[in-house]
Amino acid sequence: MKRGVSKNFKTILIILFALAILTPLGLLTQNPAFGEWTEEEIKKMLGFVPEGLKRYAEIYKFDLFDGYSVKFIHNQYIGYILSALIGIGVIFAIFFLLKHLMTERK
Amino acid sequence: MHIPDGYLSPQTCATFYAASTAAVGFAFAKFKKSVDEKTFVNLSVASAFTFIVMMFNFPVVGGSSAHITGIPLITYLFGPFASIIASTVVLIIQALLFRDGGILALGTNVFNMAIAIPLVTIFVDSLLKIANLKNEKVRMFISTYISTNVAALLTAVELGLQPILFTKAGKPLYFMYDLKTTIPAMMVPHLLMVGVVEAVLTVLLYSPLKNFAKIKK
Repeated sequence: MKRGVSKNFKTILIILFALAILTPLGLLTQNPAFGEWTEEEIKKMLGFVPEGLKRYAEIYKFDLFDGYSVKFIHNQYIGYILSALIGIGVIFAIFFLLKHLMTERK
Repeated sequence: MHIPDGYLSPQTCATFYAASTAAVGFAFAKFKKSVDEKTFVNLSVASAFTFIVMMFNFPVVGGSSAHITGIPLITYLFGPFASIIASTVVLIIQALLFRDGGILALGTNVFNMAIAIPLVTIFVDSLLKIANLKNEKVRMFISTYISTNVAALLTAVELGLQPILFTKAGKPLYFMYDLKTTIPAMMVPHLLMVGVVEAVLTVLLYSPLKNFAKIKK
């Protein structure tokens, strides 16, 4: 059973990696999603930026991977793939940690 | 479907933070009871899958773009509670690391996607079972289609209520378009395209992935 799990898991990792490489396909459309505009886009649409929107829009400042582009990498496709891999890595790390915390307490 | 910060009033954000915290807490308590090592493998894979699926934006009618979530699929594979936790983790990471969805809006985004989608998927599926619809794939298609559209509708209503509830000197304080604009803008692409793509993906991928989910049990 243990072997079955690890073999399956390897397959899943390969699939996830392949999907990560393919993520730049998601960049083919440059249309912003409805209701996910930047302040500049809103200003263009309305002629002004709503007061409260302006006040809270920038409340969180961390922008190293802003919008799945990596700050120091100028190729957006490579940045997107890297973001995908970083995200998967962080997710696995979180659940690995959670597993240790939760099984220890038992 | 990821609402950025500034679009929602603090009152809206606080309300949904409260609702989401309660729901995720409940799911976590349920999940904790049946926890073993394999559960975490399932969760990490479900989470990673959802995360990556949401990166595939595609153009939709009306000149905007949208993405599917993969959440109905992981709900069918791993159950609603695991699905709620896996997708909540994804939304937290998207907000904190990639600025996809706001920090203040996180509670609302978790409510719309991580909580509403799994619960509606399971609810509609059990209704269809009661209605004696025996074909599993048809049930999957319908419940995925409906849950995706419910998530879009929630987003549209939350955004569209802002300029009705929160204005200053006749100008909107936060999101600027009311329900007359937000509901068609969100629902037309989701009813016509996103919901269908999500439903087809769920039906197609469920059988090949079922074995992976099963071996963990």
